[in-house]
Amino acid sequence: MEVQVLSTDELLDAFTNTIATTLLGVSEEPGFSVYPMPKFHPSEGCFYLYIPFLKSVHEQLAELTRKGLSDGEAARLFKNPSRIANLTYNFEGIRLGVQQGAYTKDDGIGLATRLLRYIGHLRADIFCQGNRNIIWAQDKVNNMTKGAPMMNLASLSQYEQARVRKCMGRINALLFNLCELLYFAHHAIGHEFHGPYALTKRRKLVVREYYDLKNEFWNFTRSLPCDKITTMEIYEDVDIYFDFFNRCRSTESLPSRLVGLCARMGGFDGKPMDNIEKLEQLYNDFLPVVTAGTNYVRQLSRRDLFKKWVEVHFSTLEPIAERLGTNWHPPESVYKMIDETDPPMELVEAFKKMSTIPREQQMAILKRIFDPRIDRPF
Amino acid sequence: MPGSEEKMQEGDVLVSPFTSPLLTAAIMKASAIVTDEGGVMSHAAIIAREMGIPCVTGTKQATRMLHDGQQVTVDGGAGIVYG
Repeated sequence: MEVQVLSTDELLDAFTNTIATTLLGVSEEPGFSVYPMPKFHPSEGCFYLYIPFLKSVHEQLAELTRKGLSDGEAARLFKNPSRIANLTYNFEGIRLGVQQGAYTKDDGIGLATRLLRYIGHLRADIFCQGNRNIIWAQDKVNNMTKGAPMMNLASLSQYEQARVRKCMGRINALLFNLCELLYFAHHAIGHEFHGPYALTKRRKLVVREYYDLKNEFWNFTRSLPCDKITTMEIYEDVDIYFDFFNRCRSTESLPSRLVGLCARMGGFDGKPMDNIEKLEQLYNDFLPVVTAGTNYVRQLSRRDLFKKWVEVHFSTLEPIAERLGTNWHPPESVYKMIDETDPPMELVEAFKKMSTIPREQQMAILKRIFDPRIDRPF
Repeated sequence: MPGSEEKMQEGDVLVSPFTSPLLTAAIMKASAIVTDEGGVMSHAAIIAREMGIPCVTGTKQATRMLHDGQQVTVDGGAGIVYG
């Protein structure tokens, strides 16, 4: 893949513009009071996460460089670009680490630009400014679609087509919900949706990879039938968009435009779910586990959820720590802090107040908040 | 909300202040979703697009105006709920 070469300032300017635009786009959502779960706002969770997590990321990535890994090799340890993109929500906390002496300001800026550069090694357009998330070259797209046991919906009866569309729609909705259950607002830590890749003038391919579904911090996931689900979906006559954080939009409901499908339990070499009965079985196997997960999450306290929030973020460092032979788990001090300290309400109040000021000012403030070059955003 | 899953029957319309993964069991039975809060990138809208069911978000008052068992028609394209 051709890697984009941008200066530090160009990278950070593009990033702050992207995240401010994205967050403003969701500012009408109910998030400030109830998202991602009804028990805490992400900014409260970040109170516990930022300093230990960013310090750990900084140290581990620096160690990878010392060990001679290239940016591309290090980037691939994160699996996919949207996982890294979701970690950039934490850039807001970089300056806190500087203030607390966890690393220098230059280190903080270096950490931010390093992660953004990594994304550039994994997707063609770092910030998805063209509304596409292109990971595969066209040759690979052609090879993968030719070699795959694709289910052609046109070869099925109308009744069977309806069953496949309904079932596949439910599987995607269920797996998206599972990712939100496991990774909270940062659901793309658990999935990568990529494409759309043009196949013909009317048809396009969307690839979905759901992974790390069995997470050691969520006991209920042990009952899931597999750790990964991979699908290749062909759609006709619909526009599909992906943003930097791997959120999907489309001009029509997706199942109604589905014309071809290859779903596998596992990765791209996994067991194909190549008929309607297997697809329905997959859905029926996942649904009770996800439902049990929702019941489990409901009875967790805020403090329990804060711990999960921290743990799942640290779990993204597992492949890196394994490579280095180090420990990737959260330090005990984080658990102690969660048990003994409440997050300051000022954070939530500050976000709530944001919605009362003009949009241009909101945009400017958000850009400054996520910019590690700026010492005092307010 | 807690208890919604038990109430929901296959094909019912889910009416809720907002949706989250905690409503998964209810969402999976829904033939349409209507929420008080949210926009095109809300959880409800994303899930509805994936499932291919109509969705109207940001009504501000659906949970106050609609009641359990009421017959409704949801036009996701126009953003209108007919009660």
